[in-house]
Amino acid sequence: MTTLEIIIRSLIGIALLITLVRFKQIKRGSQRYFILYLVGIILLETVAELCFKQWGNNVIVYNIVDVFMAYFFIYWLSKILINLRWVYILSLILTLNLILSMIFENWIEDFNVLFLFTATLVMIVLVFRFYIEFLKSDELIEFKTNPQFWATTGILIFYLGYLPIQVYISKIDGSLTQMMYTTIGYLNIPLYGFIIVALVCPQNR
Amino acid sequence: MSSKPINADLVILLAITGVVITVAMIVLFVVFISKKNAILKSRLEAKLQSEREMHQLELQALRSQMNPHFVHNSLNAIQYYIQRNEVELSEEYLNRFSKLFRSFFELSRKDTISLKEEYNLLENYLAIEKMRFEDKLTYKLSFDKKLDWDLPIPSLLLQPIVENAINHGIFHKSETGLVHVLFKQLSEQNYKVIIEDDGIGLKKSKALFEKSNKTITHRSSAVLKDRLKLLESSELFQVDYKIKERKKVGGTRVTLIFKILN
Repeated sequence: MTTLEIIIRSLIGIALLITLVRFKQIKRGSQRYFILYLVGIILLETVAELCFKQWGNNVIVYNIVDVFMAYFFIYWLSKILINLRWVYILSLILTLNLILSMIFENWIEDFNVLFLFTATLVMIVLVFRFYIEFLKSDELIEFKTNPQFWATTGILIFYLGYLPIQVYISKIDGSLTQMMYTTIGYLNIPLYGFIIVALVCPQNR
Repeated sequence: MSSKPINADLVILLAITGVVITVAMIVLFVVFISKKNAILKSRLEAKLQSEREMHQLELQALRSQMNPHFVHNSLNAIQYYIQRNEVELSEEYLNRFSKLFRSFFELSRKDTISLKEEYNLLENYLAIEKMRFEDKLTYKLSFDKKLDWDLPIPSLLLQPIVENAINHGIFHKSETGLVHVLFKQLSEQNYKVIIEDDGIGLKKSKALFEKSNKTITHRSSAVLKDRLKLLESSELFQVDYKIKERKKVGGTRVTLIFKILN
Protein backbone atom coordinates (compact mmCIF):
# COMPACT_ATOMS: atom_id res chain seq x y z
CA MET A 1 0.00 0.00 0.00
CA THR A 2 1.44 3.37 -1.02
CA THR A 3 1.60 6.48 1.16
CA LEU A 4 -1.08 8.10 -0.99
CA GLU A 5 -3.41 5.13 -0.49
CA ILE A 6 -2.79 5.28 3.26
CA ILE A 7 -3.61 9.01 3.29
CA ILE A 8 -6.83 8.53 1.27
CA ARG A 9 -8.03 5.57 3.33
CA SER A 10 -7.19 7.46 6.52
CA LEU A 11 -9.24 10.43 5.30
CA ILE A 12 -12.20 8.17 4.48
CA GLY A 13 -11.83 6.50 7.89
CA ILE A 14 -11.64 9.86 9.69
CA ALA A 15 -14.69 11.09 7.78
CA LEU A 16 -16.66 7.99 8.77
CA LEU A 17 -15.50 8.26 12.36
CA ILE A 18 -16.59 11.91 12.53
CA THR A 19 -19.95 10.99 11.01
CA LEU A 20 -20.47 8.32 13.66
CA VAL A 21 -19.25 10.49 16.56
CA ARG A 22 -21.28 13.52 15.47
CA PHE A 23 -24.29 11.56 14.29
CA LYS A 24 -26.53 12.99 16.99
CA GLN A 25 -25.65 16.53 15.91
CA ILE A 26 -25.83 15.93 12.17
CA LYS A 27 -28.73 13.51 11.98
CA ARG A 28 -31.16 16.25 11.01
CA GLY A 29 -28.79 18.02 8.62
CA SER A 30 -27.66 17.40 5.06
CA GLN A 31 -24.38 15.90 6.32
CA ARG A 32 -26.12 12.76 7.52
CA TYR A 33 -26.30 11.31 3.99
CA PHE A 34 -22.53 11.02 3.91
CA ILE A 35 -22.61 8.04 6.25
CA LEU A 36 -24.19 6.03 3.43
CA TYR A 37 -21.62 7.32 0.97
CA LEU A 38 -18.63 6.61 3.16
CA VAL A 39 -19.79 3.10 4.06
CA GLY A 40 -20.45 2.44 0.36
CA ILE A 41 -17.02 3.68 -0.67
CA ILE A 42 -15.25 1.63 2.01
CA LEU A 43 -17.10 -1.50 0.89
CA LEU A 44 -16.34 -0.89 -2.79
CA GLU A 45 -12.67 -0.14 -2.08
CA THR A 46 -12.43 -3.40 -0.15
CA VAL A 47 -14.05 -5.30 -3.00
CA ALA A 48 -11.69 -3.55 -5.49
CA GLU A 49 -8.71 -4.62 -3.40
CA LEU A 50 -9.94 -8.20 -3.22
CA CYS A 51 -10.68 -8.32 -6.95
CA PHE A 52 -7.21 -7.04 -7.78
CA LYS A 53 -5.63 -9.66 -5.55
CA GLN A 54 -7.82 -12.43 -6.96
CA TRP A 55 -7.97 -11.59 -10.68
CA GLY A 56 -5.48 -8.74 -11.16
CA ASN A 57 -8.24 -6.53 -12.52
CA ASN A 58 -10.63 -4.32 -10.62
CA VAL A 59 -11.75 -1.95 -13.39
CA ILE A 60 -15.36 -3.06 -13.09
CA VAL A 61 -15.38 -2.21 -9.39
CA TYR A 62 -14.06 1.29 -10.08
CA ASN A 63 -16.67 1.68 -12.81
CA ILE A 64 -19.28 0.83 -10.18
CA VAL A 65 -17.57 3.31 -7.81
CA ASP A 66 -18.01 6.01 -10.46
CA VAL A 67 -21.72 5.16 -10.84
CA PHE A 68 -22.20 5.07 -7.07
CA MET A 69 -20.42 8.41 -6.57
CA ALA A 70 -22.32 10.12 -9.38
CA TYR A 71 -25.74 8.97 -8.21
CA PHE A 72 -24.97 9.63 -4.56
CA PHE A 73 -23.82 13.18 -5.28
CA ILE A 74 -26.88 13.81 -7.48
CA TYR A 75 -29.11 12.50 -4.67
CA TRP A 76 -27.28 14.65 -2.10
CA LEU A 77 -27.40 17.74 -4.31
CA SER A 78 -31.13 17.15 -4.83
CA LYS A 79 -31.46 17.39 -1.04
CA ILE A 80 -29.74 20.77 -0.85
CA LEU A 81 -30.93 22.41 -4.05
CA ILE A 82 -34.10 24.47 -4.06
CA ASN A 83 -34.85 24.24 -7.77
CA LEU A 84 -34.85 20.56 -8.74
CA ARG A 85 -35.63 20.99 -12.43
CA TRP A 86 -31.93 20.69 -13.36
CA VAL A 87 -31.54 17.64 -11.16
CA TYR A 88 -34.40 15.83 -12.91
CA ILE A 89 -33.21 16.72 -16.41
CA LEU A 90 -29.58 15.89 -15.75
CA SER A 91 -30.42 12.66 -13.88
CA LEU A 92 -32.40 11.52 -16.91
CA ILE A 93 -29.53 12.35 -19.27
CA LEU A 94 -27.06 10.58 -17.00
CA THR A 95 -29.23 7.48 -16.77
CA LEU A 96 -29.55 7.36 -20.56
CA ASN A 97 -25.78 7.64 -20.80
CA LEU A 98 -25.39 4.89 -18.22
CA ILE A 99 -27.53 2.61 -20.38
CA LEU A 100 -25.54 3.54 -23.49
CA SER A 101 -22.29 3.02 -21.62
CA MET A 102 -23.41 -0.44 -20.47
CA ILE A 103 -24.32 -1.32 -24.05
CA PHE A 104 -21.32 0.10 -25.89
CA GLU A 105 -18.49 -0.06 -23.36
CA ASN A 106 -16.78 -3.05 -21.87
CA TRP A 107 -17.04 -2.42 -18.16
CA ILE A 108 -14.85 -5.36 -17.23
CA GLU A 109 -11.85 -4.29 -19.30
CA ASP A 110 -12.26 -0.54 -19.85
CA PHE A 111 -13.31 2.50 -17.92
CA ASN A 112 -16.87 3.73 -18.54
CA VAL A 113 -15.71 6.93 -20.21
CA LEU A 114 -19.10 7.83 -21.70
CA PHE A 115 -20.87 7.66 -18.36
CA LEU A 116 -18.00 9.24 -16.47
CA PHE A 117 -17.73 12.20 -18.81
CA THR A 118 -21.46 12.87 -18.59
CA ALA A 119 -21.40 12.46 -14.81
CA THR A 120 -18.55 14.97 -14.58
CA LEU A 121 -20.43 17.58 -16.59
CA VAL A 122 -23.61 16.88 -14.59
CA MET A 123 -21.74 17.38 -11.32
CA ILE A 124 -20.10 20.61 -12.45
CA VAL A 125 -23.46 22.00 -13.63
CA LEU A 126 -25.26 20.99 -10.42
CA VAL A 127 -22.50 22.37 -8.21
CA PHE A 128 -22.72 25.68 -10.06
CA ARG A 129 -26.52 25.57 -9.68
CA PHE A 130 -25.93 25.20 -5.96
CA TYR A 131 -23.48 28.14 -5.98
CA ILE A 132 -26.01 30.31 -7.81
CA GLU A 133 -28.71 29.49 -5.26
CA PHE A 134 -26.26 29.87 -2.39
CA LEU A 135 -25.10 33.29 -3.62
CA LYS A 136 -28.70 34.45 -3.49
CA SER A 137 -29.30 33.23 0.06
CA ASP A 138 -28.43 34.86 3.36
CA GLU A 139 -26.59 31.69 4.46
CA LEU A 140 -23.73 32.97 2.30
CA ILE A 141 -22.67 35.28 5.12
CA GLU A 142 -21.38 32.27 7.03
CA PHE A 143 -20.22 30.24 4.05
CA LYS A 144 -17.01 29.27 5.81
CA THR A 145 -19.01 27.22 8.30
CA ASN A 146 -21.53 25.96 5.79
CA PRO A 147 -21.19 22.17 5.28
CA GLN A 148 -22.95 22.27 1.91
CA PHE A 149 -20.45 24.80 0.58
CA TRP A 150 -17.45 22.69 1.59
CA ALA A 151 -18.87 19.41 0.34
CA THR A 152 -19.86 20.87 -3.03
CA THR A 153 -16.45 22.54 -3.37
CA GLY A 154 -14.81 19.16 -2.72
CA ILE A 155 -17.01 17.60 -5.40
CA LEU A 156 -16.19 20.44 -7.82
CA ILE A 157 -12.42 20.06 -7.35
CA PHE A 158 -12.64 16.30 -7.74
CA TYR A 159 -14.63 16.40 -10.98
CA LEU A 160 -12.76 19.37 -12.45
CA GLY A 161 -9.54 17.44 -11.93
CA TYR A 162 -11.11 14.24 -13.21
CA LEU A 163 -12.14 15.83 -16.50
CA PRO A 164 -8.75 15.86 -18.30
CA ILE A 165 -7.96 12.36 -17.03
CA GLN A 166 -11.08 11.08 -18.75
CA VAL A 167 -9.77 12.38 -22.06
CA TYR A 168 -6.78 10.09 -21.65
CA ILE A 169 -8.49 7.13 -20.05
CA SER A 170 -9.17 5.62 -23.48
CA LYS A 171 -5.47 5.76 -24.19
CA ILE A 172 -4.46 3.95 -21.03
CA ASP A 173 -1.72 1.44 -21.35
CA GLY A 174 0.36 -0.27 -18.73
CA SER A 175 2.75 2.63 -18.23
CA LEU A 176 -0.01 5.17 -17.65
CA THR A 177 -2.41 3.28 -15.42
CA GLN A 178 -0.39 3.93 -12.29
CA MET A 179 -0.14 7.64 -13.07
CA MET A 180 -3.89 7.83 -13.59
CA TYR A 181 -4.56 6.16 -10.26
CA THR A 182 -2.06 8.45 -8.56
CA THR A 183 -3.71 11.56 -10.00
CA ILE A 184 -7.19 10.33 -9.05
CA GLY A 185 -5.74 9.56 -5.64
CA TYR A 186 -4.54 13.13 -5.27
CA LEU A 187 -7.98 14.39 -6.28
CA ASN A 188 -9.46 12.27 -3.51
CA ILE A 189 -7.54 14.31 -0.91
CA PRO A 190 -9.47 17.59 -1.42
CA LEU A 191 -12.71 15.62 -1.89
CA TYR A 192 -12.50 13.81 1.45
CA GLY A 193 -10.71 16.71 3.10
CA PHE A 194 -13.61 19.00 2.28
CA ILE A 195 -16.14 16.32 3.23
CA ILE A 196 -14.41 16.16 6.64
CA VAL A 197 -14.64 19.96 6.92
CA ALA A 198 -18.35 19.71 6.00
CA LEU A 199 -18.86 17.06 8.68
CA VAL A 200 -17.28 19.14 11.43
CA CYS A 201 -19.26 22.24 10.43
CA PRO A 202 -22.23 23.13 12.62
CA GLN A 203 -25.34 21.22 11.70
CA ASN A 204 -27.34 22.93 9.00
CA ARG A 205 -31.02 22.09 9.02
CA MET B 1 1.43 6.21 -30.74
CA SER B 2 4.21 5.75 -28.23
CA SER B 3 3.56 6.09 -24.51
CA LYS B 4 6.12 8.85 -23.99
CA PRO B 5 4.45 11.75 -25.86
CA ILE B 6 1.08 10.82 -24.29
CA ASN B 7 2.73 10.83 -20.92
CA ALA B 8 4.23 14.27 -21.54
CA ASP B 9 0.89 15.56 -22.83
CA LEU B 10 -0.86 14.14 -19.81
CA VAL B 11 1.58 15.80 -17.45
CA ILE B 12 1.01 19.15 -19.16
CA LEU B 13 -2.74 18.61 -19.09
CA LEU B 14 -2.67 17.71 -15.42
CA ALA B 15 -0.53 20.76 -14.70
CA ILE B 16 -3.05 22.92 -16.53
CA THR B 17 -5.84 21.23 -14.56
CA GLY B 18 -4.01 22.01 -11.36
CA VAL B 19 -3.76 25.65 -12.38
CA VAL B 20 -7.43 25.68 -13.44
CA ILE B 21 -8.50 24.19 -10.10
CA THR B 22 -6.37 26.70 -8.19
CA VAL B 23 -7.71 29.63 -10.21
CA ALA B 24 -11.28 28.30 -9.88
CA MET B 25 -10.88 28.09 -6.11
CA ILE B 26 -9.42 31.59 -5.89
CA VAL B 27 -12.23 32.99 -8.06
CA LEU B 28 -14.81 31.04 -6.02
CA PHE B 29 -13.55 32.39 -2.71
CA VAL B 30 -13.15 35.93 -4.05
CA VAL B 31 -16.74 35.85 -5.38
CA PHE B 32 -18.11 34.44 -2.13
CA ILE B 33 -16.17 36.82 0.09
CA SER B 34 -17.09 39.89 -1.98
CA LYS B 35 -20.75 38.81 -2.11
CA LYS B 36 -20.68 38.21 1.65
CA ASN B 37 -19.25 41.69 2.18
CA ALA B 38 -21.89 43.15 -0.13
CA ILE B 39 -24.66 41.43 1.86
CA LEU B 40 -23.16 42.61 5.16
CA LYS B 41 -22.86 46.13 3.78
CA SER B 42 -26.44 46.19 2.54
CA ARG B 43 -27.64 44.78 5.87
CA LEU B 44 -25.71 47.43 7.72
CA GLU B 45 -27.14 50.11 5.46
CA ALA B 46 -30.64 48.74 5.97
CA LYS B 47 -30.05 48.71 9.72
CA LEU B 48 -28.78 52.28 9.64
CA GLN B 49 -31.72 53.30 7.48
CA SER B 50 -34.18 51.71 9.88
CA GLU B 51 -32.38 53.38 12.79
CA ARG B 52 -32.64 56.70 10.97
CA GLU B 53 -36.32 56.08 10.34
CA MET B 54 -36.75 55.13 13.96
CA HIS B 55 -35.06 58.37 14.97
CA GLN B 56 -37.38 60.29 12.68
CA LEU B 57 -40.38 58.60 14.19
CA GLU B 58 -39.07 59.22 17.68
CA LEU B 59 -38.49 62.86 16.85
CA GLN B 60 -41.97 63.13 15.40
CA ALA B 61 -43.40 61.48 18.50
CA LEU B 62 -41.42 63.83 20.72
CA ARG B 63 -42.63 66.86 18.80
CA SER B 64 -46.19 65.63 19.22
CA GLN B 65 -45.62 65.02 22.92
CA MET B 66 -45.18 68.74 23.50
CA ASN B 67 -48.64 69.57 22.31
CA PRO B 68 -50.64 68.43 25.36
CA HIS B 69 -48.42 70.45 27.64
CA PHE B 70 -48.95 73.61 25.66
CA VAL B 71 -52.65 72.91 25.07
CA HIS B 72 -53.17 72.41 28.78
CA ASN B 73 -51.66 75.80 29.62
CA SER B 74 -53.51 77.63 26.85
CA LEU B 75 -56.88 76.16 27.71
CA ASN B 76 -56.26 77.13 31.30
CA ALA B 77 -55.72 80.73 30.15
CA ILE B 78 -58.93 80.71 28.09
CA GLN B 79 -60.78 79.28 31.04
CA TYR B 80 -59.33 82.10 33.11
CA TYR B 81 -60.78 84.76 30.74
CA ILE B 82 -64.15 83.03 30.63
CA GLN B 83 -64.23 82.90 34.39
CA ARG B 84 -63.54 86.64 34.42
CA ASN B 85 -66.37 87.02 31.90
CA GLU B 86 -64.10 88.73 29.37
CA VAL B 87 -65.83 87.39 26.29
CA GLU B 88 -63.96 89.44 23.67
CA LEU B 89 -60.59 88.60 25.12
CA SER B 90 -61.47 84.94 25.44
CA GLU B 91 -62.67 84.94 21.81
CA GLU B 92 -59.48 86.62 20.66
CA TYR B 93 -57.47 84.22 22.72
CA LEU B 94 -59.36 81.27 21.29
CA ASN B 95 -58.93 82.60 17.77
CA ARG B 96 -55.18 83.06 18.18
CA PHE B 97 -54.92 79.76 19.92
CA SER B 98 -56.72 77.85 17.16
CA LYS B 99 -54.48 79.47 14.53
CA LEU B 100 -51.39 78.63 16.52
CA PHE B 101 -52.61 75.14 17.23
CA ARG B 102 -53.23 74.54 13.54
CA SER B 103 -49.77 75.69 12.53
CA PHE B 104 -48.37 73.75 15.46
CA PHE B 105 -49.86 70.52 14.14
CA GLU B 106 -48.85 71.25 10.57
CA LEU B 107 -45.27 72.04 11.51
CA SER B 108 -44.88 69.16 13.94
CA ARG B 109 -45.21 66.73 11.01
CA LYS B 110 -42.16 68.25 9.36
CA ASP B 111 -38.57 67.46 10.34
CA THR B 112 -37.40 70.93 9.54
CA ILE B 113 -39.10 74.25 8.95
CA SER B 114 -37.78 77.63 7.88
CA LEU B 115 -36.55 80.17 10.39
CA LYS B 116 -39.40 82.37 9.31
CA GLU B 117 -41.97 79.71 10.19
CA GLU B 118 -40.34 79.13 13.57
CA TYR B 119 -40.15 82.87 14.15
CA ASN B 120 -43.84 83.36 13.28
CA LEU B 121 -44.84 80.47 15.50
CA LEU B 122 -42.88 81.90 18.41
CA GLU B 123 -44.38 85.32 17.79
CA ASN B 124 -47.89 83.84 17.88
CA TYR B 125 -47.08 81.80 20.89
CA LEU B 126 -45.58 84.73 22.80
CA ALA B 127 -48.57 86.91 21.89
CA ILE B 128 -50.87 84.30 23.40
CA GLU B 129 -48.72 83.98 26.49
CA LYS B 130 -48.68 87.76 26.76
CA MET B 131 -52.47 87.62 26.88
CA ARG B 132 -52.26 85.03 29.61
CA PHE B 133 -49.65 86.80 31.73
CA GLU B 134 -50.78 90.33 30.82
CA ASP B 135 -48.43 92.91 32.33
CA LYS B 136 -46.33 90.30 33.98
CA LEU B 137 -44.72 89.36 30.70
CA THR B 138 -42.99 91.31 28.00
CA TYR B 139 -41.20 89.78 25.10
CA LYS B 140 -38.83 90.74 22.36
CA LEU B 141 -38.01 88.88 19.18
CA SER B 142 -34.86 89.97 17.35
CA PHE B 143 -33.78 88.71 13.98
CA ASP B 144 -30.37 89.43 12.50
CA LYS B 145 -30.83 91.22 9.18
CA LYS B 146 -28.00 89.24 7.63
CA LEU B 147 -29.64 85.96 8.52
CA ASP B 148 -31.54 84.16 5.78
CA TRP B 149 -35.21 83.62 6.72
CA ASP B 150 -35.31 80.45 4.65
CA LEU B 151 -32.58 78.61 6.53
CA PRO B 152 -33.86 75.39 8.09
CA ILE B 153 -34.33 74.66 11.76
CA PRO B 154 -35.60 71.49 13.49
CA SER B 155 -39.30 72.12 13.78
CA LEU B 156 -40.76 73.35 17.06
CA LEU B 157 -37.48 73.05 18.92
CA LEU B 158 -37.51 76.58 20.31
CA GLN B 159 -41.11 76.76 21.48
CA PRO B 160 -40.70 74.42 24.49
CA ILE B 161 -37.58 76.35 25.56
CA VAL B 162 -39.51 79.62 25.40
CA GLU B 163 -42.35 77.90 27.21
CA ASN B 164 -39.94 76.82 29.97
CA ALA B 165 -38.56 80.39 30.20
CA ILE B 166 -42.06 81.72 30.79
CA ASN B 167 -43.42 78.97 33.02
CA HIS B 168 -40.36 78.46 35.19
CA GLY B 169 -38.52 81.76 34.89
CA ILE B 170 -41.11 84.53 34.61
CA PHE B 171 -44.10 82.82 36.23
CA HIS B 172 -42.49 82.74 39.68
CA LYS B 173 -41.16 86.29 39.42
CA SER B 174 -43.12 88.98 41.25
CA GLU B 175 -42.27 91.83 38.83
CA THR B 176 -42.63 92.01 35.07
CA GLY B 177 -40.41 89.61 33.26
CA LEU B 178 -38.80 89.81 29.85
CA VAL B 179 -38.27 86.97 27.42
CA HIS B 180 -35.89 87.77 24.62
CA VAL B 181 -35.42 85.52 21.61
CA LEU B 182 -32.52 86.45 19.38
CA PHE B 183 -31.68 84.92 16.03
CA LYS B 184 -28.13 85.71 14.99
CA GLN B 185 -26.05 84.73 12.01
CA LEU B 186 -22.62 83.23 12.67
CA SER B 187 -21.64 82.29 9.14
CA GLU B 188 -23.41 81.38 5.94
CA GLN B 189 -24.52 77.97 7.22
CA ASN B 190 -24.27 78.60 10.95
CA TYR B 191 -26.52 80.61 13.18
CA LYS B 192 -27.38 80.82 16.80
CA VAL B 193 -30.56 81.36 18.74
CA ILE B 194 -30.45 82.85 22.21
CA ILE B 195 -33.48 82.54 24.46
CA GLU B 196 -33.03 84.52 27.63
CA ASP B 197 -35.30 85.55 30.43
CA ASP B 198 -34.81 87.67 33.52
CA GLY B 199 -36.84 85.34 35.66
CA ILE B 200 -35.90 83.57 38.88
CA GLY B 201 -33.10 81.57 37.31
CA LEU B 202 -32.27 77.91 37.15
CA LYS B 203 -31.39 77.25 40.78
CA LYS B 204 -34.50 78.83 42.28
CA SER B 205 -36.71 77.27 39.64
CA LYS B 206 -35.22 73.86 40.43
CA ALA B 207 -35.74 74.34 44.13
CA LEU B 208 -39.35 75.39 43.60
CA PHE B 209 -39.94 72.50 41.35
CA GLU B 210 -38.57 70.02 43.86
CA LYS B 211 -40.89 71.43 46.52
CA SER B 212 -43.92 71.19 44.23
CA ASN B 213 -43.46 67.46 43.48
CA LYS B 214 -44.67 67.97 39.90
CA THR B 215 -43.63 65.58 37.18
CA ILE B 216 -44.94 67.22 34.02
CA THR B 217 -42.08 69.72 33.77
CA HIS B 218 -39.59 66.96 34.16
CA ARG B 219 -41.22 65.23 31.24
CA SER B 220 -41.10 68.38 29.13
CA SER B 221 -37.39 68.86 29.83
CA ALA B 222 -36.76 65.18 29.24
CA VAL B 223 -38.54 65.43 25.90
CA LEU B 224 -36.35 68.38 24.94
CA LYS B 225 -33.28 66.48 26.06
CA ASP B 226 -34.31 63.44 24.03
CA ARG B 227 -34.93 65.58 20.99
CA LEU B 228 -31.52 67.19 21.27
CA LYS B 229 -29.94 63.78 21.72
CA LEU B 230 -31.69 62.41 18.66
CA LEU B 231 -30.64 65.47 16.70
CA GLU B 232 -27.04 64.48 17.40
CA SER B 233 -27.44 61.63 14.95
CA SER B 234 -29.14 63.89 12.44
CA GLU B 235 -27.48 64.30 9.07
CA LEU B 236 -29.06 67.71 8.65
CA PHE B 237 -27.89 69.57 11.71
CA GLN B 238 -25.31 69.77 14.35
CA VAL B 239 -26.93 71.44 17.33
CA ASP B 240 -24.97 72.75 20.27
CA TYR B 241 -27.21 73.40 23.28
CA LYS B 242 -26.12 75.37 26.35
CA ILE B 243 -28.15 76.54 29.31
CA LYS B 244 -26.71 79.06 31.78
CA GLU B 245 -27.73 81.08 34.78
CA ARG B 246 -27.56 84.84 34.08
CA LYS B 247 -25.61 85.98 37.08
CA LYS B 248 -25.66 89.76 36.64
CA VAL B 249 -29.29 90.39 35.74
CA GLY B 250 -30.69 87.09 36.95
CA GLY B 251 -32.63 84.60 34.88
CA THR B 252 -31.60 81.97 32.41
CA ARG B 253 -29.97 81.99 29.00
CA VAL B 254 -30.26 79.15 26.54
CA THR B 255 -27.94 79.26 23.56
CA LEU B 256 -28.43 77.02 20.59
CA ILE B 257 -25.88 76.97 17.81
CA PHE B 258 -27.06 75.38 14.60
CA LYS B 259 -24.64 74.12 12.05
CA ILE B 260 -26.38 73.07 8.84
CA LEU B 261 -24.71 69.95 7.51
CA ASN B 262 -26.69 69.35 4.34
